[in-house]
Amino acid sequence: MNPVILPFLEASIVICLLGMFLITQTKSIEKVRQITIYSSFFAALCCLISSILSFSGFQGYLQLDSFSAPLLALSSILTFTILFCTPCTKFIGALTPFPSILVLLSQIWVILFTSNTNSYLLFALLLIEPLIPLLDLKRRGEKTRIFLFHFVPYWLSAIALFTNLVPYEAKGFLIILMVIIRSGIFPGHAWVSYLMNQGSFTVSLLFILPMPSIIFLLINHNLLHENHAAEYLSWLAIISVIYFSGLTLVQKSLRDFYAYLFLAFSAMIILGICSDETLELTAAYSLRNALCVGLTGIGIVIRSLEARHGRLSLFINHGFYESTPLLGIAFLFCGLGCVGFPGTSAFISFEILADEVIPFSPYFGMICVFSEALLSIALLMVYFKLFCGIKITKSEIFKVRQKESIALWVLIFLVFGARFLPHTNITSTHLAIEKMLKKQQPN
Amino acid sequence: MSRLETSLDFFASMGIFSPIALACFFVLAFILHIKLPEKFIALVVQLSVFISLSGIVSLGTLFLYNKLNKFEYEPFPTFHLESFHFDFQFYFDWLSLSFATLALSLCFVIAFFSQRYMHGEPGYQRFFVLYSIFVSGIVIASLAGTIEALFVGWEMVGLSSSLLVAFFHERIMPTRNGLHLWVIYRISDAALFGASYLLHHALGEGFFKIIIEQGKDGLVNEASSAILIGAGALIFMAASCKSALFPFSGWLPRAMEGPTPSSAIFYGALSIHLGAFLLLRLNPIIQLSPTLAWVVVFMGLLTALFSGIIANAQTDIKSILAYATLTQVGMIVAEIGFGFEILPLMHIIGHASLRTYQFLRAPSSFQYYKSLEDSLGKTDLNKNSTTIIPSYFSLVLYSFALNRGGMDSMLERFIARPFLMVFKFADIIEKKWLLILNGTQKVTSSDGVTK
Repeated sequence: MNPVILPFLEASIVICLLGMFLITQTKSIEKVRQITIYSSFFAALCCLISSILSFSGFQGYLQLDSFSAPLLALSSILTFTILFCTPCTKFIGALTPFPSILVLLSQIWVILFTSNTNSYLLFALLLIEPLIPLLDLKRRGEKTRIFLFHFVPYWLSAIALFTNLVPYEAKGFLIILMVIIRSGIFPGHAWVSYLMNQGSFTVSLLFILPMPSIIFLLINHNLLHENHAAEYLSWLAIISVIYFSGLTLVQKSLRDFYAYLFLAFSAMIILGICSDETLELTAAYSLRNALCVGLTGIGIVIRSLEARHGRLSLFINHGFYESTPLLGIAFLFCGLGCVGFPGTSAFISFEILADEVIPFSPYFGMICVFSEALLSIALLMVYFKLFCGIKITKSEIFKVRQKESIALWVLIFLVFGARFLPHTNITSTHLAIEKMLKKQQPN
Repeated sequence: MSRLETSLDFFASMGIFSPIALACFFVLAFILHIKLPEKFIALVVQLSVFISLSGIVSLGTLFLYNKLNKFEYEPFPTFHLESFHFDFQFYFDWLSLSFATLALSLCFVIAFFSQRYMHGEPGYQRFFVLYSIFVSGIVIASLAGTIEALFVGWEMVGLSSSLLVAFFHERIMPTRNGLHLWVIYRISDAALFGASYLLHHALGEGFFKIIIEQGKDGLVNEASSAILIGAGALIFMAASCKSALFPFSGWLPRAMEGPTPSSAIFYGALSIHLGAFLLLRLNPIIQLSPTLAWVVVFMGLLTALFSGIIANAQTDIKSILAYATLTQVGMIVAEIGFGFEILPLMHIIGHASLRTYQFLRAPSSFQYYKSLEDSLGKTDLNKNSTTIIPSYFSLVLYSFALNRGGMDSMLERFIARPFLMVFKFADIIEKKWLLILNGTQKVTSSDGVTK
């Protein structure tokens, strides 16, 4: 067998499954930690190799194309990065044990979802995905009413679509319902801040950050443009963009701030996805990738701070810069990466998105630009609240660990360095999306 | 390519990329937490700014020698994707060369001053990281040949300025003032983004050369002059925020929280004049509409009058200088509104140089006056000051000036507070909705407090 056509993608799933099995057999917490991280690392490595090989035409049983290969590579890097820098305190000495099995399950899900373009399989994957945070909430003894209130209609819609129970005309609206709930578009957003506050932060990050509904919408773009579904969704998205951007300014807890920050950006991407122009879809999808990196960085910083100081309020200034300057720098840079500061990967994507939204509706375009300004204000405000304002003495306990440093450097590199030449990146994304849209067109 | 073109390209890249390379190097060292020695930082900064300045001066010399008027430099190929194109081009003419030379000369002086002034400060390296971003931003903005390039420089200047105001970040007031500045700058960025879109829509591309070379009369013939006037209004708004024109003047005294070298270079010399420079650069668009031109004149004069009054009642030297600077900036903007080209440029150059000197002298000025008084004997230097204004009116005027015209509180009361109130109310509804859905009266919030 030629080594280059080894089924790396399938191997990554097997590695995660093996890791899950080993975790159930192990009692030592330190070993559980090591198994989790190593399994995640090797799985991510296999994904990366398989993505690279797919460009040369070497495929395993699961097929990757020009759209899914970079997506898989990025998703696997981000998933591993989140796990890699998980503080030891989350494993050892925590009140509730770290959800290692759920985390590896999330990774398997991400691999399967990003490496697939089959609509039915995607439906099935979307259907089972919310079970992971639900199990996490149950495990932590938290109420699941809010989560179920949102996800029962989501499941019902998905089942109806999957089994073709509804007439063709209604399919668009069921898709809207699914997207509203999964992406947290107003008014289906309440579960996000609840999950962020009550669930495990790592599981929550792995659940929300891949933004699967955006990929799903791209792959099933034809369905969205039936019965004016895209038009209605774009109205809801623009309301959500301004509403959540405003809410980020008045949050008094860090996790709520993060939840609304994610929701605002997610709505902005959905607004782009609602278009039927390839250019705008390219912008929205590129923005999604850039935001995934930026939001992962901010999420890691928040988790690192909370691991040292507990839950953080934004009522007061904390002045963490002196003790953990790298966290401050990473927060600022990843934040700038999210709001499309020049030189970051989101810059060109946001320019294209706003440029293309304005002809569709000048008001929508202005709202996008205004919301982006609000979000950047909120980000700097939170940066000052967390890292500035008072002087605290340095302590070795609060020092950033090497693993965290490496993870944050990788993310900062992805925010700035990896997209230093946006031309090639966006052009290749554009070609991939064009190809995918052509596939969807009826012969 | 001719020898002249090769030389022009070489000097242009020297001028532009030297500060950008410096910024990249410092940012990288900062991220990787590499502590650089003070002397090395100062040397690298001085060398980089000197190389950049040499490049620009050499380019100017070539212009003079070869009797050139303009030169376009495109370091990266234009990014085209369907209808979207992103042009990153630089345009060298006498205006951009003059402003860039001024900016780099002052930055060079400040680099030397800061080496001693910031010596021993815990944030020495951080200061120079922000300084290098600022220098890159100002060079890009002043030499920009397209609205996209201008936007990049504009944002870099905005970010570095805000973070420099909050430089002493262990105190709460600098961070609040830095945030205040950031808010105003983001409004400015949003306005510039809107202008960028309209310019693209009207001209098909964002090249300044079309505006500069066609001039006002050429643009009148454009079918889309109404859109261009809209773009002009947005450009004026962006410039107003950047140059602290009325009613956005509130951030200027707040910006003095930063270290003196940054106050001198940003708010006394360069940042504050950047808005005026933008208006001067795109003056043909402003002159397209007489109404818009008169608005520019009126707002400039109003700013000059307003800040002239306020400057008289300030109690600290940096605030006095800040408002005195604003008075002159208002005059410069009015000159631009009248359609002058050389006069505002000369005014900018002279004024920026004077203010840099005054700001740098500010910390030692009391010592200077004391020594002056000692030399002259017991002399009251202000004994000849008399007033011709009636005492009641004088008191009202003094109160008005002391409150800085109440502009900050008015903007806060009528714009910021109602805006935030809406979202605070929405947040309360959100929390109640969560409680209803959860079926509980109490929920543990993320800051650990049970409500």
